[in-house]
Amino acid sequence: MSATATVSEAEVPSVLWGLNPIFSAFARLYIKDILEMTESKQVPGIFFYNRHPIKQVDILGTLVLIKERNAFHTYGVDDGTGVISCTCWKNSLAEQKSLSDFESSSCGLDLIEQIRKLQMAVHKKTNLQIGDLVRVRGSIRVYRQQREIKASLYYKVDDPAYEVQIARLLELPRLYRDIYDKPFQIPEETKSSQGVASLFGSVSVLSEKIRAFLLRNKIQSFYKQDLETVEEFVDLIRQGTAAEQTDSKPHSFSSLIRESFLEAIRILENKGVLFQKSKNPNDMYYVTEQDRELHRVTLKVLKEDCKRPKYAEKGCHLRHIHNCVNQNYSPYVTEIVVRCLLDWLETNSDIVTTMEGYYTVF
Amino acid sequence: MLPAAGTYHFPWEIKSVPEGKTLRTFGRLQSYDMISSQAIITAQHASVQHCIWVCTKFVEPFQAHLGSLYLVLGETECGEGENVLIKARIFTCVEGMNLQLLEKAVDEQRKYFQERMKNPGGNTS
Repeated sequence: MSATATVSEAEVPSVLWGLNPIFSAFARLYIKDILEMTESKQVPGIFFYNRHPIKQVDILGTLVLIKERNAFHTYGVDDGTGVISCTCWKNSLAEQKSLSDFESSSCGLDLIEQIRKLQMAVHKKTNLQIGDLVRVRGSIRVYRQQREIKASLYYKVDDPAYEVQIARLLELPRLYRDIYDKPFQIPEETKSSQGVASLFGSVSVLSEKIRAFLLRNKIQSFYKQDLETVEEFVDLIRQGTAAEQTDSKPHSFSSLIRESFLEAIRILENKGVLFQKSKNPNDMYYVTEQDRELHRVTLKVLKEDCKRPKYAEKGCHLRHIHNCVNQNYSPYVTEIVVRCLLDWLETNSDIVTTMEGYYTVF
Repeated sequence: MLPAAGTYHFPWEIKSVPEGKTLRTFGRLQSYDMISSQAIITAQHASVQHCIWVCTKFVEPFQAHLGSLYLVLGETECGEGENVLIKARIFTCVEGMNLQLLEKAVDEQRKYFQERMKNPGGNTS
């Protein structure tokens, strides 16, 4: 509901936003709510009202402020709950000088007449005065720490007997109660695939977190179960499941944690960040970028081989280094691990690339 | 830069509004003094006639239709004696407006916001 309530909860992952029909609609919100909604951390310019992602809004209010610039007007619109400024680009059609010059032309008179009528209508609807009732549709943007609406459409509403505004006053509470204040339920049929999607999204985040964690704490090796004790990661998975809003049974949650870690580790293995010295997932995992023994062996190989005339000029090829590491260190080290390792060593200026795939050391 | 929001107030509630508050209200134009830029709008509520002084300096010139319904948006100011003065920024004739319906609509909006205040986050779960 209010801004404070939404902050505490985890954001809905952006993959799922499109499932919510409000996301693609122009939300008819109170200006007060537009000003108070929380902005998405994932995508700036998207806002959350009660966990509904809001991309664009539709407001109706009294014009209370006009500022004219070269190419646009800034209008202050007041709907009785708040005031927001709207950037409305000038319509070139309405700005043009009248078409009366063309009137004398003999052919196509009718068309020109039609355009002139259109021009007049546009001019009438977009030439706004303070006190006019105006409808603005557009996206929200933050400009100089102030929220404003970047209008995609704006026009004056003729409302001499206040009917439109009364209708809006009556309509909004109903809309809020029926739609905006109700949490969005993800349709049943998409739930299973959505579970996978959110699992996948959070797992890739998790794998990045694990990688950063290993680097930060200079961990050379670990067992899978060690990771499961790190509060930071478990919280992350819990948030992921909270967003899913499935009724989480305790046993399914613990198995979910296990699966998430397995999946995250698999991602890291595929990137070459982690490797094992056996095929058993319960054995120890080694961190490519931290394992000193691996670094020592690789550097030794490079130092010795680069002295040999065969490699002196170009340096050693990746495959050659891979072979040597397999012989001297562990046969389970894959090529992608070696690649990751060499990248890391190069980042630390321990080795130098001479050309694509060739490395040397000074 | 932007002015405060003009919240709906019924004419009979104006007396309790603090000075400097931005609001919008309505009433029938009873008199208009062009020289002092002062108008008086009135509204009946529970058999009591409520008068509101409106300073029209910012909205002049305008066509004054005595006896017509007007909507005013502006800031309150302390007037003479008991009376409240509204410095109008917007003063529009809304003759033909359905007063009962407006009252109902404003009440609906207030009811909604009150509900929301009472159980913040109540509907979020």
